[in-house]
Amino acid sequence: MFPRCRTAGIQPQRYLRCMVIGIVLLSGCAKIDFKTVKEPAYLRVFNNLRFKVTIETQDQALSTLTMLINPVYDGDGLPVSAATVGDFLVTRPAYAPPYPSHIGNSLDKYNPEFPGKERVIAGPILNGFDLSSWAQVPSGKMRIAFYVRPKSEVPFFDLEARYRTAPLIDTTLDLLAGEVYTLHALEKDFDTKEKGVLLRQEIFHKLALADSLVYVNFYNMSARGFWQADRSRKPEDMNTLVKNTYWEDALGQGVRDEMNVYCSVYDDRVQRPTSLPSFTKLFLTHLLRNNESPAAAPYYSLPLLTGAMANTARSPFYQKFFLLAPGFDFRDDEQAGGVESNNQYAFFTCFSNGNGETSPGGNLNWGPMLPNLIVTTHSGIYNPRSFGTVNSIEIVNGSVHLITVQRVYAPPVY
Amino acid sequence: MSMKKMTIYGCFLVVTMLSCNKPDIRLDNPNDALRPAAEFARNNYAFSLLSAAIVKAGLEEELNKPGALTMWAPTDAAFNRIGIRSPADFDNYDTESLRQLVLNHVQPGKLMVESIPLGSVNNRYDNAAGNNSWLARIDITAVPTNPNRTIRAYVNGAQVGIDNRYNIPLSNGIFHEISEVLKYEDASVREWLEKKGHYKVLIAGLKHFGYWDMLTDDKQWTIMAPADSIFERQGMTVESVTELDTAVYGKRLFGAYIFPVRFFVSDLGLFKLKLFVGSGATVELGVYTPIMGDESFSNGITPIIGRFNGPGFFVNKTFPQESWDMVYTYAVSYPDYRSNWSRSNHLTRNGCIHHLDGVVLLPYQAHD
Repeated sequence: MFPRCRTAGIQPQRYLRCMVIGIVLLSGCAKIDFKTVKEPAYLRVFNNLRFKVTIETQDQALSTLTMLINPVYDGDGLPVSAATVGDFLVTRPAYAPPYPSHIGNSLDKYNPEFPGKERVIAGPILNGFDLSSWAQVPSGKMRIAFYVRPKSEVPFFDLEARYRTAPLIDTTLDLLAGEVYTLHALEKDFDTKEKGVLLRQEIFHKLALADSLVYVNFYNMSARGFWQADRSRKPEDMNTLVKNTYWEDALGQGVRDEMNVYCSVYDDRVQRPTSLPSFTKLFLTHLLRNNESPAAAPYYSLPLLTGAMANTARSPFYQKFFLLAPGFDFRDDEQAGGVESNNQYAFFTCFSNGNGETSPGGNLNWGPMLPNLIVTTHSGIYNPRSFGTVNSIEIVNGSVHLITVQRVYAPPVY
Repeated sequence: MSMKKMTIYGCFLVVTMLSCNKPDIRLDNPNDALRPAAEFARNNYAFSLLSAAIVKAGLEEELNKPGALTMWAPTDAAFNRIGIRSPADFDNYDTESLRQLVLNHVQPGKLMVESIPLGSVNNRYDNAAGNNSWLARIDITAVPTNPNRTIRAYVNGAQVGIDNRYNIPLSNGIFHEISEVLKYEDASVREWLEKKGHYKVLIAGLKHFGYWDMLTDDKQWTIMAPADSIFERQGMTVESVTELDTAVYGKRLFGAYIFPVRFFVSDLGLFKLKLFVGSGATVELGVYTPIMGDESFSNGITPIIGRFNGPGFFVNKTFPQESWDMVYTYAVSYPDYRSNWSRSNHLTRNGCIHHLDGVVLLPYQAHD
């Protein structure tokens, strides 16, 4: 029955066994269609809307959004589906980490950014930068609409029709293939409540940035007329990771449309907070309020200076940024900003993971807290090792936000 | 092993494996033994009065029908607070009004508490009686960064699920306990006050100071209503109030009891208005509005959070600049909302009426 087997010297039992194994293996096969996006652009979206709810404004727009890219409408003009849906977009928190951590770190559906918790095709490693927090979207012209939705766990298309009648923002964007974009839904004018989007084409992956330095740029995307408004109209739930009412004024009331940015770099090993001599109130840039221009701001470098000790390459430095209106002098670090300085002075600190630990020196004058611009983690044989990153610091009304982008680095060796 | 046997085994194995099917085993099978709404209430001691109301209103069959409904179920304690202590007390109601009362607590469609928009009030839903239910879900955690958040849901100002009895599945919908019997009357605020009969001094004052005609049907109002006995304790009667000279006494004497916007007491958990007074001092307020016709004075309520005794109602000079000037303030406190909110949140066609335990201004305090 098995002549060829016999001639080849294979035992029929073995032949049969092979056949059975083969059948078993083959029956377990599944065909997986890998989804790809042809000529993708890379998109990351933030909801910057933050409203104050009082009895007078209770029926005004809520701040949770749904983003629809290329929506499909039914006969009544209600959206029924969309090519890409970013649902449950809540107001962004202070920190946008360099890796897509949101998806594994919560039990609710509320998404602090897009893609965030959405299951999308993530961006690749582009010129050494990890774009896994960006979604791949088809390039070209696209219609993008933001709808205000109630903050509940009901998916957008299952909500009552009244929530789907009028988009808050409805616009057309042109995305170029291979480019990296961050899209902001924001309030353009605090008095007229005009809303809009700001699409920024990022440049960090095209620049010759050294991996031994920390880079940072600044944006002030505040609404027109925010800082001038009476403080009773301003929202109080700022994004600061540490709610410290004593320093609420440090940024919560907004800053003027024209500010100078200074930076001090501190060493966390020193008992009294002293900044590095060459990085003490160092002038970085002149920051203008702008929520119209899509241009990326220039980057400034700060030191990383890792000190190689036994199995570690940790940088002990952390940063503190100061915003001063032109003509407003540094007097004392202990001075509060906000109303007392007539919105001419504000500061914030980037230390540790931004959760409010105090440095050994007990630098109490924190202001709003953000994570350190330097990412420190176990990599290769070093535990820990510090890495330089590329950062954007965005001021939106009374809030400050940090977006960190990191390079790919070696996995830990144990 | 012979070749033939081998082949037979081989074929047998192939055939056996081919005939394998993969049944979709569900370990979390839905409970088939769920009860419908009226049946659930009947079998639960905490809802015996609700069940009695359902039976007396002849709605048992309707609420047991298959379908999807949401039942906002007042406990027996909630009925007790509006004076209903035994099923016999429902005999005072005619069947039709009892039917309306029960249907006000039934909402078509299955609504989980998590589906109520968070951080907002006045979310309109229709109930089975054809009226509106106003749903709210509020994060009342005092510190926003506190990971142990306290989120409360309310329907027409009544708290949902005080003892975590909410989202209870029924065979025909979902069941939530609420802390109060929903109070809705198809009347205007003026009709409501007149009908009750014990707000005569308030009505006389509102009429005398020109507010009564302002309470029209096309707007929504909130009235803080002290009963006659409370006014009389302060020496204010219908006669004494109507004799006041309106040229001498400020309109705030009675304007203080009106807010030109409708709110349930629970809504104050959401509204946080910070009033900045003096050098850096702040006062947290829930609602604060200038008094109509006497705008240099404002009426307001401090929020629920942080106040064990509930919101405090006050009148003061509008936006005091110098210091927190609680002039003309009487410590008027609400009863603890857990034990007795039954005297607030009376919903009418054009507003809400809350009972007030004190008189906020005496005539001499409104003497200009």
